[in-house]
Amino acid sequence: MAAPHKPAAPTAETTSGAAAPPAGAAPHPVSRRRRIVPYTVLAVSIVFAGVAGAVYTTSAPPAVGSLRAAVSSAATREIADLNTVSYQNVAAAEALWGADTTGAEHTSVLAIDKAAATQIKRVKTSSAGTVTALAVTAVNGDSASVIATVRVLQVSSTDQSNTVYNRYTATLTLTSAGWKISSLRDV
Amino acid sequence: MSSRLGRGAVAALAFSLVLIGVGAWLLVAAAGRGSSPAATNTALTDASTTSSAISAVRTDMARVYSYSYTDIPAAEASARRVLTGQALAQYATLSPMLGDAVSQQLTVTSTVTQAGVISQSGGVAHVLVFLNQSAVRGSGKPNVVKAQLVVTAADNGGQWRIVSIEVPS
Repeated sequence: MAAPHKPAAPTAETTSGAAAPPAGAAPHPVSRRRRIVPYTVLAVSIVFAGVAGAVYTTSAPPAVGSLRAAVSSAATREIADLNTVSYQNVAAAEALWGADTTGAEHTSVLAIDKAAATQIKRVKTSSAGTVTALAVTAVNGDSASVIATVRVLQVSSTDQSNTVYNRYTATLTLTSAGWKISSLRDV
Repeated sequence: MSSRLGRGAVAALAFSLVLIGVGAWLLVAAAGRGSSPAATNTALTDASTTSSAISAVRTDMARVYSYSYTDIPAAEASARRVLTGQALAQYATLSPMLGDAVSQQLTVTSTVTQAGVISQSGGVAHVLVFLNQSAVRGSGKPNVVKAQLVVTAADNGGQWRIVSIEVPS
């Protein structure tokens, strides 16, 4: 006598209890939802990314604000440089002065090089300039104006020190190497 | 999972994750940009307010630091009208000097030669001022003294008042 027929092992569907719909029946509502969810998430993500992009674009500081910040940064460094020199290494200061200037101020800085170097070495005094306050007063295309106050600490070779305060008006010009001082006037 | 959802759905979810990541990064970057000094400082970008602050500070500083031995009380009253807060206390420290002005027959005339807004935000402006003070004793010759000051001014309903006066050091 043949052994009784063993029932087939249950399938995953039958284990989970989610029986396949009979042929020709409408798809199960849960399955349809499951298919729609990824595309809904995608649509929401596209909208989110679009809104975030718009927020980022409109958050850019005004062009004048960016220019003002760049001018302020360059002028603060360059005006300090032009008030700084060590009698032990005048050549280094001169190189910096040349790099920080353009136009008429550059010509002026180069012209006084030799006389200034001789004088600085003779008196053996070093100066360190610090810009204590600076305001950008105008930005017009590739030209900008600033006013600045500078504290200059002068130290002699015998360690005697003296502090002086200077007021300047300066014009900066935008060059291929950035904003450079084209005019500096002690006022 | 991919066999149940299908490759298209899995790709959609993956792309969604990328979009969410990019969107979150853009929002964080936007917040950083919005709080940068270039964005929060409206000096020059708000030209009208910048001009208004400079004009008021020029006039007010000339008023505060100008006085004549002939009418010190009037000079004090005039100065106090444009000062507020800490600046009023700072002005009080000038009292001994104003008292001496009478005995020295001193007249001081102050002029703002240069002024520029360092920063401005929310109705408060920090203005760098170059002040020249010309002092005359009796019928003597004028003696000019140069000063540089950082003035904080606040817009009080359309009228700028000086809140503090500092010497940059």
